[in-house]
Amino acid sequence: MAYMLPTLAAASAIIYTLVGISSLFFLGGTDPRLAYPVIFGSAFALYAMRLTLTSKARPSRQTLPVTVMAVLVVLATPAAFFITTGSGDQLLGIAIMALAAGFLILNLFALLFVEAVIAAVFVTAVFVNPDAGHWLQSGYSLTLTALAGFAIYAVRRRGISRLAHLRQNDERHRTVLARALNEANESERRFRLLSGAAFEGIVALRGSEIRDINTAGAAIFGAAPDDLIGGPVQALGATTDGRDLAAALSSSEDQDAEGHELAFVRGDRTRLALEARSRKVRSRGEETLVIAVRDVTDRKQNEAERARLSRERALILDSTGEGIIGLDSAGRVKFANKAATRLLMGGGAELDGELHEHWLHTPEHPHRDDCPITAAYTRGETHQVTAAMFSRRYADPMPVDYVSAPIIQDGSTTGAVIAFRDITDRIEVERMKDEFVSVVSHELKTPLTSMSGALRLLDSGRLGDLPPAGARMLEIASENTDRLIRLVNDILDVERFRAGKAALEPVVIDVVALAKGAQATMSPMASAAGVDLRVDTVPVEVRADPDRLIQALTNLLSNAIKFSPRGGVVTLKVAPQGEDVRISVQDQGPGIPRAHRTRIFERFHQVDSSHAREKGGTGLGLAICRWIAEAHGGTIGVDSPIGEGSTFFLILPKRGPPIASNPSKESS
Amino acid sequence: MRRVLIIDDDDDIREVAKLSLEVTGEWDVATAPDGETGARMAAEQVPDVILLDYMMPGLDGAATLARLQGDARTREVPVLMLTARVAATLEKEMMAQGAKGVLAKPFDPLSLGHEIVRRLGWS
Repeated sequence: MAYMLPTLAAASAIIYTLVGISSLFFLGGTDPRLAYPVIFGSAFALYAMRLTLTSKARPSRQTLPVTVMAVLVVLATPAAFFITTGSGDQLLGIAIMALAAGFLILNLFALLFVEAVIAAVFVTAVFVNPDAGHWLQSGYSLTLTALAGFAIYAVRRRGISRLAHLRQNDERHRTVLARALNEANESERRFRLLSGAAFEGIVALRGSEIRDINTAGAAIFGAAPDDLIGGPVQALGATTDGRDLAAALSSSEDQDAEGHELAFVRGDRTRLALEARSRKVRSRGEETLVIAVRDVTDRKQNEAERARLSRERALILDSTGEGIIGLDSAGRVKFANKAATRLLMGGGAELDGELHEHWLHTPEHPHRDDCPITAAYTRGETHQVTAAMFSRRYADPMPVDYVSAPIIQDGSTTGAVIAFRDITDRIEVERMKDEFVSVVSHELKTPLTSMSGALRLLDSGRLGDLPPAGARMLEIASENTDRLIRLVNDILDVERFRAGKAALEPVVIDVVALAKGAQATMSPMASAAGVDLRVDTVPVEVRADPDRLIQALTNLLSNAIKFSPRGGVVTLKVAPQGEDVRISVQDQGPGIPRAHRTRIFERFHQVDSSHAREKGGTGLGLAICRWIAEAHGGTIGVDSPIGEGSTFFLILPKRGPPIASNPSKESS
Repeated sequence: MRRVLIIDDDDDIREVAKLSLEVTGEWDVATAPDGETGARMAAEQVPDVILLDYMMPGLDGAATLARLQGDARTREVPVLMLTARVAATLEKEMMAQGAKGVLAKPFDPLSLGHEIVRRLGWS
């Protein structure tokens, strides 16, 4: 089929040529009508050539007007021939016209405008000079036709080669384009990969249309990317003041600067805190707004929570009456709460950056190497210190209790925290209490003196005899008066020890003599209780306050006798023990349960309070013994194997109490 | 019979102490309720020993002691202080002012006389 049209065209050219040659014989050499077969033959020859050279044989919109024009021209020519000559063989003319029309129909779809014009030129040339010889006219026409055909051919050739060139270019362009497309696809793929993997949401807007959104972005707005792409930006939601994402971002001038924080409400009414940054990208004349958006709702909530905790911490630190100071590893103040600043600086100046040596000590109590505060931030030690002195900017030094504790981070000490309390008031209260106790005790002693004296006189029988029941009542009154006197004396002793007003007066004493003395003192009580009081001692000297030591021994012996069964044995034993001397009192009593063994040395602690009443104790004896032992630089303790009674022991250094004894001053 | 003057602001203590000494049959007891009266009575009677309460309203023990020491008639009369406060410092202080000793309250009425004799080194 592809060769049909060129073949038909070539056949048409041959037929026209043969018609032209045979016309020479029928019409004679000078008949101008000879020109028609020649012209049509040439035209078809050219057409055949053209069809052969190009494969384009189909009609199209573009070629139609040209073709119509050619048809009109070709049909107009024979019409003009008959009109102008008015003679000749009409049949032949009609035959030629029919033939021409037939071929033109074949030609309809492809005859080019140029060919039509050339054909018209030849026809015009023949009619312009009708007097020229027919041979000459025919030869002229043939030559011109050949030349024109050649020219057309040359033009076509160039067109063809240009076309080939264009095709080649086209091919190259296609390759480049394909590669570019590939790259574009690849780059888009990579873009999608990256944006899909990005934690940030990325939204591309063109106008108010969502051109693209990555998975993270869609997730922020609570949807899938496909549901949003192509939709309006309003589908994402709006800021709390009703602007869409694009409007909220475009209203600001500095689009490339810091991200904007937006309070946002997305489609499903969920409130979000967004951080968004936008940039305008111009491509192929279109402007795209690319927005990177991050959901900072959690972060915002965390920030708010942190701020709240920080406020709370500050509130807690500042609302406590205790001063709290943080020190760095060089002993400099890193923070101080309100109470600390108020207590030390009078509230005016800041403590930050001050060295602790300047404030947490006084000239009278200077900083020393064994300072518990230094120990906290250098050695990681924790200390509780009572009655220390801190300096103050605008006032006298202040008595404080404090705790120094290390700040430990990742196993190393990075500073210390000092929590302190002003104990001025407490000291005053204690002073008042001591004074009160002292006054009350002395006031008690006055009536007790009369009572005990009167009772003792009565009891002695020197004022006459009493009936037995009266004598028994008198006995009870006397015992309890004595007990009251012991209690008052013990309370006064304890208060004096506590207040540091009881001074020791140590001298070198022979413990054997001391033990014998104590034994002699306690013998009446032992006999009354049916207890055998023994002394087992070796000669040993110790530096001690004899009155206090006797007091301790009689207390211990008294306890031992009280708790011994009738017929039991109490042994007072003294033995040297290295640099110390060990004085022990062993009984055969019920023993001390383990849980009570340390607490019995506290004031008013008794194993069984019913016992105490029965035995007439004050609950202060052991506390006094402990104070006496400790004041001598020694210790007190108890061994009490179950079922074997108890052994209380004092361990005192032979060389006596440490030099720095409590200052003694009895006022009034 | 030894003559003793008891100066104490507490009536009951004066009475108990008086009786405690009198029942022994060895003491002639006079009493005064305050320092002023005591010092005057001491000057008039010049007893063998004075028991002087330390804490009294008005002229207290220390002031009364000073007045007794300052009076030629009573300067040689030994004074024993009676006190509810037993403190080594107080005892030293009183001895330094001229007292011969300190007796602690409450005292034992049965041994009060012996105690006075012992403290003063009487036979």
